[in-house]
Amino acid sequence: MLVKSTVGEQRTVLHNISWETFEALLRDTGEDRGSRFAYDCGVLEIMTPLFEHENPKSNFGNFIIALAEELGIEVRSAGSTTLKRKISKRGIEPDTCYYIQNELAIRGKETLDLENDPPPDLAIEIDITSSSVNKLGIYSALGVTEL
Amino acid sequence: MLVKSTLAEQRTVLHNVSWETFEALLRDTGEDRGSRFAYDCGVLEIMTPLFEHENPKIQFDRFIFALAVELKTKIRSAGSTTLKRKPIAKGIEPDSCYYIQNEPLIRGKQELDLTTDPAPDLAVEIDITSSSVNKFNIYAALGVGELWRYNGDILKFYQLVESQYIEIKFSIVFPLISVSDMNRFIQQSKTMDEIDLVQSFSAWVRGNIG
Repeated sequence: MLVKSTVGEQRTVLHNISWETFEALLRDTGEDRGSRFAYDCGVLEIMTPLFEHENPKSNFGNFIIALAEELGIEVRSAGSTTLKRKISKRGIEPDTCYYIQNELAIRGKETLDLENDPPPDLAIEIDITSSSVNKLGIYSALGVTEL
Repeated sequence: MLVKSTLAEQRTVLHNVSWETFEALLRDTGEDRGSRFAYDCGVLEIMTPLFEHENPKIQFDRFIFALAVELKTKIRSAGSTTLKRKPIAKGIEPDSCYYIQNEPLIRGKQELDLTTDPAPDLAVEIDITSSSVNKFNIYAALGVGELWRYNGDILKFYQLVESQYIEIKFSIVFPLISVSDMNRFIQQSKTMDEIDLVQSFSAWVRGNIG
């Protein structure tokens, strides 16, 4: 049977992952990772984006930069930085995220620590297939005001 | 565009994963994991098997068990136990693996430690899509004597000879069983009912080998 086959994302889920193991994975795999993590109280989802996912992500990025330029607003793009807070046992890597209202609070910073720094004001999530973790729950716990 | 879509395995690869993090993942995820790990010097592949992968795996296990029953061979099934050795930074979870010649050495053991225990005598690997890690290297480094590798179409037998696998026509752990015999039966699994298949296989073993 011929079936139309498009999959926006490939998702792998592991359960019962401790916070320490999650952080160890982040440290080991570093910045140049093709895939993105979302962590919610022991559930780790590793998402590998495919073309259908990456193309809209890049378009949204362009729209936002254009908006910021036209409206004369300072924007700091934090890309797919890992947003995480140990006490909430949650972490996520958005498609992209931005500091807008809080841009001044993190201006000049080289690293983000959400225990002390404000979370981004805006995050963009592209989920063409369903995620296995509750992303709204994670962003809410991290305090990202607009999605 | 309409494309035929079958995916037997889903593979996710992470790089620069330390041995300690690999072991932490094994410890955390425990026994009831749906996906399987293969680790080679920092590269971790997480493979989630789908239907096209799982069914042949089950068939091979039945054939091997039937062989052991008919030939009255001692066997200990180790399933998809994690086979790992830290000094070589390699680890793998086969589709299934078995102790046959070395069964007496691990009889009664509840846990495997490949630093002191022998590696399984036979491992079965089903790779319908390409793996991202070199599994032959991993199995060779772990010292698994015989490998049966199935790609969805063809089964091949390999024997470990001086740290390299060479293709063989007849199994070492089950002498007189040829790879073409096993190929014939695994092809039949695509069209035959499973009970009929294992009965036909057992009858064939009794009639021709036993």
